[in-house]
Amino acid sequence: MVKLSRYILVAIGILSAAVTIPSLYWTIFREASSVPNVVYSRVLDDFMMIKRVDGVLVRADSEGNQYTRDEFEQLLPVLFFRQRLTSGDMPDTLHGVYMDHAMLSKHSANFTIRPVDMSQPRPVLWPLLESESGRVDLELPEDFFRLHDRIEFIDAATNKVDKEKSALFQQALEEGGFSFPARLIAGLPTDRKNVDDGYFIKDNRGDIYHLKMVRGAPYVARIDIPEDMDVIHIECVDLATREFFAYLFTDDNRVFLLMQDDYRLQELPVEGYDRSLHRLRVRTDLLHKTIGVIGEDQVKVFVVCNDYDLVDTFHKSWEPPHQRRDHILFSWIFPFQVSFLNPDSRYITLDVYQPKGIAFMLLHIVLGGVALVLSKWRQLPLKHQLPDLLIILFTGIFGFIATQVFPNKFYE
Amino acid sequence: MYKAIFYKEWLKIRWALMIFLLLGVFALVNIFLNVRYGVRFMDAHDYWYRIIIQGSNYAASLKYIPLFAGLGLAIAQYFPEVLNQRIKLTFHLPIRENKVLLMQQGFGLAALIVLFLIYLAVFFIGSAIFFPSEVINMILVTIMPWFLGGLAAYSLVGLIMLEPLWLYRVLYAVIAYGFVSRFYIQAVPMAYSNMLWFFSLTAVLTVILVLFSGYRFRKGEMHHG
Repeated sequence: MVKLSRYILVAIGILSAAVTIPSLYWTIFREASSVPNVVYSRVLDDFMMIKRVDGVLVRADSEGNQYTRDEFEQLLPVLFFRQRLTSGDMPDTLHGVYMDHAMLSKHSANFTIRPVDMSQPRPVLWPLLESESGRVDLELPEDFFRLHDRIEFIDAATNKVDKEKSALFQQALEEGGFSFPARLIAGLPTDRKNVDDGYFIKDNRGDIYHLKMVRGAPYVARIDIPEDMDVIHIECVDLATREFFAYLFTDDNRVFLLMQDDYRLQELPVEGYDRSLHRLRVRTDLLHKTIGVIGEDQVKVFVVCNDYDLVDTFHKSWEPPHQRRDHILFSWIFPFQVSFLNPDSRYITLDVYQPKGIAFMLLHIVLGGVALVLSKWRQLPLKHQLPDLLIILFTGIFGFIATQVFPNKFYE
Repeated sequence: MYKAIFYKEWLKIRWALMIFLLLGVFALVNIFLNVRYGVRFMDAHDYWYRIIIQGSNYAASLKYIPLFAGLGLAIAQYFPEVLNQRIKLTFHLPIRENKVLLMQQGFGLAALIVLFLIYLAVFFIGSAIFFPSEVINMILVTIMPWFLGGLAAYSLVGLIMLEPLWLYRVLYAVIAYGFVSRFYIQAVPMAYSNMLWFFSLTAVLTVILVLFSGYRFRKGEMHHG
């Protein structure tokens, strides 16, 4: 039992060391990496990019020709229309499309989703706003709903279920063929948006339903999705153009838009996208949509026109992180790193990062040797030090620290 | 004999226990008075919105109370033992030394768990007045690691205080700080939900750690470490 208590202490020591020391290492040695911001110019009909090189912003086209800030922005009038209008060199039309401030402004929207946005606790209850109150401003309701075996509205002031309203919505969902409980609920639970579109809900069978409240009455619509499609995340948007409700992400990393006029699904080109690794950025403007799939070592950009035909694609990759100097040095010192906080999740996780290769083994053997010399010097019998040596061989610097802080002296 | 040992432990911790019982209940009463104010005098649905959608935790002020209770109880229990090395007398009782230590530790831990259960009971009763089960569960998952951290802190302080050498006390304290602070990471509500098993397991495993220091104490590390 006493020996076990020591090994628990050693384990706690290894864990604490594996969390704090590598994190200190990164604070000191992390090298900044710059991902180019790739945009599409309808003047050149080519890609352009901004990148930070040695601390300086470099603006270039895909051939590598560099531009000043003004030149760059003049080639991207749709993107920088506010500045171009102020500077007075905004073209009236581009590719035959008339451009004025109101149109440009209405059509420009940015959407970004990172891995962390999909890995965070979801609200446990939802407010269902009135979507056609006739008022200018949206208002949050007095109650919140749950959607497990049935739908129930709970009044916040009394903490009691509103039986009448719940029965009304329950009936509407049942008539719509909804299969309880809900497996995913998505919406914009806020009053700071242009209009309210209620919620998009994946039911127990995997079908997607649209639920909202129109003048106090339930509105339920089933959305046709392909039989084999597994929607695992829905991100709603609030577009001035009312073009689509939401982005749908499937299990096999495909991305769809849920169009507003007829609930049609429009697939976006996102070849190579992995929601657990990449940032997806969709820039919408008057002329086209630019879809960026951005990772640590590559960026892919797809441009589609307003009817979603692919116009152009761009792909650039660079050295992956594990080839950078900071990662290589790391791999010579640490066998692994443990983090409870993960940049790709808002949950606390036990994240173990392992460097590529086994360069750290050299240090492990050296530390094992040092531990051996120390135990000789303390005149401890060798055979009782074997478990410690094995621990050091596997956990390196962490195990060395832990076994020295909690020394093994049971056999003196 | 066992009864006498438990009685001695009770004498050592009863005041600390009372203080933390009052402190915790006072903090919880204060929390629910604030909730009541929020629900009655602000808009109830705005108050709910802040918790459910914006992730504000109404029990946030409870955060370090279980930690301080764990620290306080361990100090109340082990400080008198370390003073003038009185624990040596305990080790002269005709009971196995490890057994005595584990009984002491077990008694303190049981007292701490009873204290925490009282906190949680008050938390439940108060929460059930104002919130539905989903919200209570969400906040419970959020505050659970704080209680587990209190248990781990209790065990680790026992370990540090019984350690005879100051150098090692400091080293243990550094590692204990690194370990216990993992129970108090600033995060969104329910962030710990997938890891409660891990933190429960590690908190339970720390209970027997006091044996290690007890062993070093008996071996007289103080004199020829």
